[in-house]
Amino acid sequence: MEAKRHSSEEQLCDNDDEELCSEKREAESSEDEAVCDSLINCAISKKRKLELNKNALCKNDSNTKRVSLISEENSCDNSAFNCANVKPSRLQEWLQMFHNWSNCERLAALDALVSSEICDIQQIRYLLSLIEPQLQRDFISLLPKELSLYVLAFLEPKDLLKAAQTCRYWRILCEDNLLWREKCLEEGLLDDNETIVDLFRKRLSRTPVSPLPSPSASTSSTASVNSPFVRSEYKLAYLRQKSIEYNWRYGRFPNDSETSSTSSRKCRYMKEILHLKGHDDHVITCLQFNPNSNLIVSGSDDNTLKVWSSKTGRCLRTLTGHTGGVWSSQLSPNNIVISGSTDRTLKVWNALTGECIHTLYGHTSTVRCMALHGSKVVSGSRDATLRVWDINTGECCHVLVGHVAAVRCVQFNGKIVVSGAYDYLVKVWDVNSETCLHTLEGHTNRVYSLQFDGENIVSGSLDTSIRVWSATTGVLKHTLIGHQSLTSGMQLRGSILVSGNADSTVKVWDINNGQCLQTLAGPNKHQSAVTCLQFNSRFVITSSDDGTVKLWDLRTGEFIRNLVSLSSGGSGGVVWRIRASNTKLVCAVGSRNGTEETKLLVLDFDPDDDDFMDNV
Amino acid sequence: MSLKPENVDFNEIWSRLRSTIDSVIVLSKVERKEWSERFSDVYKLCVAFPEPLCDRLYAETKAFLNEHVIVLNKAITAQDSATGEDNLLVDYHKQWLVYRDGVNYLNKLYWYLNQQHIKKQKFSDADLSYGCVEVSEQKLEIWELGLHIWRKNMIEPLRDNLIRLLLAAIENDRLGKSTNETVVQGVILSFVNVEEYKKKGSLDLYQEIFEKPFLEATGEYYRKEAEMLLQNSDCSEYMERVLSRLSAENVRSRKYLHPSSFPKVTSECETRMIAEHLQFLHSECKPMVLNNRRKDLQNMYKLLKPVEGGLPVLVKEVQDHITRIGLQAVCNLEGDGVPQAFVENILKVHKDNSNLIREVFSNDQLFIGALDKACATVINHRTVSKQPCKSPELLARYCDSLLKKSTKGMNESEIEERLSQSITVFKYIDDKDVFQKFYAKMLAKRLIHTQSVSMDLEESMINKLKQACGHEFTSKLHRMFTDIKVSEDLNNSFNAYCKDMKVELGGINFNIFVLQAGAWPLAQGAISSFAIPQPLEKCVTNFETFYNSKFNGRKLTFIHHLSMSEVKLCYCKRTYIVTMGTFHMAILLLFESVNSLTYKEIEENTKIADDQLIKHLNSLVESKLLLTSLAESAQVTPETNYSLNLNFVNKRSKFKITTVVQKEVQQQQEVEQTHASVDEDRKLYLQAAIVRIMKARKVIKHNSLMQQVIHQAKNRFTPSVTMIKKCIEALMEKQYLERTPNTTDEYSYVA
Amino acid sequence: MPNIKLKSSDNEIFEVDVEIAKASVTIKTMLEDLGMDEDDDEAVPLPNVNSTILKKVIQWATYHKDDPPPPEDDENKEKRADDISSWDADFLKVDQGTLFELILAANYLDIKGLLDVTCKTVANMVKGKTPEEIRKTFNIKNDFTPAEEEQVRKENEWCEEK
Repeated sequence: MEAKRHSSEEQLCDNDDEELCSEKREAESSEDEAVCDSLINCAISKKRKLELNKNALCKNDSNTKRVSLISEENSCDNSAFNCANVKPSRLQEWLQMFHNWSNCERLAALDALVSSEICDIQQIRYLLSLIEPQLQRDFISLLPKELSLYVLAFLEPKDLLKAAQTCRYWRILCEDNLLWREKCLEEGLLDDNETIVDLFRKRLSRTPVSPLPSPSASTSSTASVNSPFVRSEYKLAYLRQKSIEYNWRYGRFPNDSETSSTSSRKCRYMKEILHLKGHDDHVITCLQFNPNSNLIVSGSDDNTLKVWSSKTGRCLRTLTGHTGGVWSSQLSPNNIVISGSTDRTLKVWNALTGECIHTLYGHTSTVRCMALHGSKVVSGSRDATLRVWDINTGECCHVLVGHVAAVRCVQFNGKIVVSGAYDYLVKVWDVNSETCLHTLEGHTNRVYSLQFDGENIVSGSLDTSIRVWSATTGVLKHTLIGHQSLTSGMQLRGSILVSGNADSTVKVWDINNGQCLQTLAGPNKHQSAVTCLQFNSRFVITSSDDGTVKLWDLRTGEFIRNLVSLSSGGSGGVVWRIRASNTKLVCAVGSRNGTEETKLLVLDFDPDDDDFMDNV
Repeated sequence: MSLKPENVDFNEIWSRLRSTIDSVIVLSKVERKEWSERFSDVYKLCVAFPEPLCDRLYAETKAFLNEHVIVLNKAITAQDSATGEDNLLVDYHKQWLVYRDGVNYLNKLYWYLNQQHIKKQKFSDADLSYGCVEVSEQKLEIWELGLHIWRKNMIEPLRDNLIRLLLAAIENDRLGKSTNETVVQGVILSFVNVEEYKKKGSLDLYQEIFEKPFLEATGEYYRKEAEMLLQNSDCSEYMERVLSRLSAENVRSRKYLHPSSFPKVTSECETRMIAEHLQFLHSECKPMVLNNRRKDLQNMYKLLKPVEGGLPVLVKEVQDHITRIGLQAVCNLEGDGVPQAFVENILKVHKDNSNLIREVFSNDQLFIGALDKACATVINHRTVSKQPCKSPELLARYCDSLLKKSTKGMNESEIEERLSQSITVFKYIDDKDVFQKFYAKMLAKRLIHTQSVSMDLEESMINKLKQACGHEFTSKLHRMFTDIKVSEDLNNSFNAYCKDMKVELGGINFNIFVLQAGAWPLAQGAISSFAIPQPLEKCVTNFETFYNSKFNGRKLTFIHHLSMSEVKLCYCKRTYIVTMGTFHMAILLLFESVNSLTYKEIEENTKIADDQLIKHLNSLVESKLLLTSLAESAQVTPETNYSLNLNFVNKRSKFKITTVVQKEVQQQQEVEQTHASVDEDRKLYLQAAIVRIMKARKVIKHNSLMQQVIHQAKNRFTPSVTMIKKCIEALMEKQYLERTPNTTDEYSYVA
Repeated sequence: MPNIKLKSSDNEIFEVDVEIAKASVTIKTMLEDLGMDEDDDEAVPLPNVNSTILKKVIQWATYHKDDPPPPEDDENKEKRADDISSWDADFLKVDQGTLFELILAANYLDIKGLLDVTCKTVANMVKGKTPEEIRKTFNIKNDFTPAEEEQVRKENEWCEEK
């Protein structure tokens, strides 16, 4: 072993020599080129720049040899040349002589010095270690700031973090707010308001008017080395978001056997999963979550709703008054709850006080779905009508009559109501005139789910198809074919649609061209009907009757992991509904056969320990 | 020199730069070398080490420009006070042009500063809207800075004088005196140019200092002008002159002003010359309409259109006028051709006025609306208010006359053309269901008696009605039409069947229409009893067998009184082929073996009901095929004798015995019957609508219910309030709904 | 096509096609000077660019003369450093000093294409390296105190490394 290593080291040295020699030969054979190169190399040395250039004309008759520059690791052990105190005699004289020579003469002298036998290889290496730094440039420190920042903008965040650790000046530039704002934009972190509020909530708690920091505040183009170091809020936001994403992917819960056993990565423990028990053995039919006020509202067929704190997991109050099961609900940003029940009424509650503000009478059968916009809520009922209510006054403002069977799903943007019903039809209504603008005919079975973004209407039906329509013209744009069964839930973001189906798969579509981009299936697929889903720019979260909540990569369609996996899964335990914020996941779980107690699970992926908002 | 950040002496470089920009700003010649080298000076300051000197450069440049403009301003003012201020506009304009270009050159020179230090500091709109930064903190690019300084140090101090002179110059232009257009326009637009760099409110300065006073002056000018014109001219002249003033002022706007002002100037002029004299103009509308003064009407339209509240009076006059002449054209029509005259007169009124609206009122929607309202009034006008409107019937008869075979000698495309026009009238009819009833009856007759000019035309007319009124409206007509078509096939397959089964029909050529009972307006109650003549029995029974084999469970009812037969008379000197009703034929067949029969014998043999039999006998007598012992106008008795006229002669060998010619009285009866059946249908329709509404709403106020019912029925007919009330009462009796207890005007649905 | 003359800091004159010279927005702007005659033969002085660098710049601009104009910067679009063409990569196989001067020249002359490709080349030299490797690459002295260094390491932790 020992001998072998030695010989290979020797070989390495030999190779080095050979390389040098061959370089030299190459240089000799093409002299013109070599001169050219040497010119460039010399040009950097500013003292002699003019002189060199003046002498450029004599380049052809000079027999200069190129100084080989090999940008290899300096293998030379500098300590061997620890001769700092040694002053060779007549050194001044020698240098003076050199100084007096013309450029061509100097080049010839250097050539002779290096290429002749005078210097041994160790000395050549030492020479190299002296020359190399002369040709290096600390671009970031030497360029005008605007240019340094332009260079840094081409780096990926990971590399920026490394670069920041190089030296003081680099650290300042790598903290530039504009630079990080760009990185945030590239990542799409400033696309939706919910994420912005979450990422900048520290700032928000200080200056509630403006969630986004001004990119130019504390930008390094005005800051200098001497001014105090200020951290970039955009950079902090970026890092926070990456941490949150990491936690979604790999974070472990101390009280969860499922997630803590799988990962091979460094262990990152988060807060314990909160178990919120309630509603006895009844079904949780609807779930709402307001991450800003930390309120969760669950509705159940036990005729009540419960308001919970997502922070403490405590049940804050129980909303009682309905005389039938609650089957639909909405939660407004200012914590007003609206619930719909089989008792044919809607009720408007204050979630903070538990007070029932209004009871809305009018429907003649179960209120099955609703959509809230501002102070107007639209309810759809089994009586085949829709009603528009003002939740402040409790008035019924409009009645939309036209369906001939139960209304199952509804969407509302303040002006236009879109409803899907068991008569196989989707109807588009103008609220103010109470007229049906379009009747979208095409589904051949009951319509169960809807999405509406102001222009596109997406409808999911028991006929297995999903249809995309234009709200303005009523024209069918695409029919999305591929699912095998009832599409129970969908979400639309931009042109991306994610649909959850009773066939236990989830599909990702582009509604602009009707293409199916991904099918979330494979060996880790759900084992039973998909009950609920939610997605953002990166992840898809899905829940199923198989008792699991799964996390998927939106872009690649890859399964990432089970966020929840009930031990009763497969034997009765199911996940009915889920709601997620940037950092939290709320799941309503239970069973119909008593194998799993009805409860809510709250998973917190927030990497920060401090909490700023405490409205509850 | 190198491009690397270096430690530099600001004062040294600035003094070089300063001397160059001194020349640039006044557009003096600058050597290329000097010009190009200053670029690197700007660069050097901007990348200076250890701290960039760009802020200082900016501040010095700003100070330089400030001073430069102040000096210029002083020079202009001094010159004016020496020579009188007439030259202010010219001087200002001259300096402005130089300065504007100078600043542009300067901006190029300061390219690096703009690019690297100023543009990057400009905040995006989004950030501004979050309100993080004060706008005043923002640095301006050098040309922006230059313009800003010009505004502050040049325009503001001279403002009052400049505006006064500009207004005077434009007033001169109005009076036809000469004006230096280039200068006036240049000065006015400098107020725009100087703020052009602003993203928001770039016209504020222009609007505030120039446009506002200019509009006031313009308004005042034209207020006086209008008063003057009114004193010296009548309405026609006034309108002509106002129009020419408006167009002249429009041209003037384009000569001097920024485009954003054009509509404002026009609107100001319109206010002063039109809107403020509306009463006068309106009072002139009526005589113009009455006398069809097209040129004046056109001018009036042009003037009133842009003014708020201008047109309605004129529109109303036009509508009243069309209504008046329309009623004149359709009232008091008498004689045979009433349907034709009615439709054609209305069409003429419609056409004349459509042309008027197109040529004079540019097809303005308001006038088209007026025409529609007028036509609807005329067409749905009731001569006697208690009686139903005659128009639906007249229109149906008109269509009938077009579609019925006749000798009017129109070719198909002419008929088609007229049918299309009749749709115009149809659209105005309120009681479309009445029309449908009449039309269906007449269509039935045409189809059964094969009197239609062409099946293609029939079909095309039905399609036209469908287009105008919807599928539901014409579904019955369609079914009638398809029945006839299907019958053709049926006859063919019956004939084939006969051949296959070797059935002999006794040499009778048998053709049958099978019609769906619901679709045809044929009163089944009127069917008389009838003993099928023996020669026909085979046909009938065979067809019944055939039909039942094909369509199980359908019941065939033969409507003999509508059937026709062709009979060959071989007992006369010549052979005649006579087309006649089946009843006629049955009667004649009795004379096969005898030449004379009593009424009683005929009745016993044919089993035809009395009234029908008498009618048919009478028509046979009238046609001279039978002779009777009965004296004219005497009552038929069972013993009345009828005998075959063996000496029958007719000029034609082929002729037709028309079915009992309908008398006036009978026609009148039929009309009443039709109206009665329409009323029945309407009641059913309304009751259905009420139930539908109640089912959805459960509880509803009386007025709301009325409204919704009327809305639903709108497309078919205009229901009378009494009829709806009756329907509501009927439904309450049937316990579909009830008055909500303790209320007077609310109903609730009883499930 | 007409040529124009460019004069470097060391007074070398380069005759260049006008269209190629106008790849530099700065030169283009300089040509729009005051009272310039149409066929002015006077050279445009570039007193801060030496002939070596100017030569390289002209070489680059000549090769790229038919390129489509560079797209406007879109801040939502990810900036990529790995899309350097092989010709450019070869062209930029120079020592750091030359690269440094090329960046300065491309910036001053405002040739966006050249600026991008040179800056990307520098960015690529940073990519994937540890702080120590970066220091070695550019001959940078670590001027942090040990306490600072620990602080900096903490604040620049990538989530996966925590």
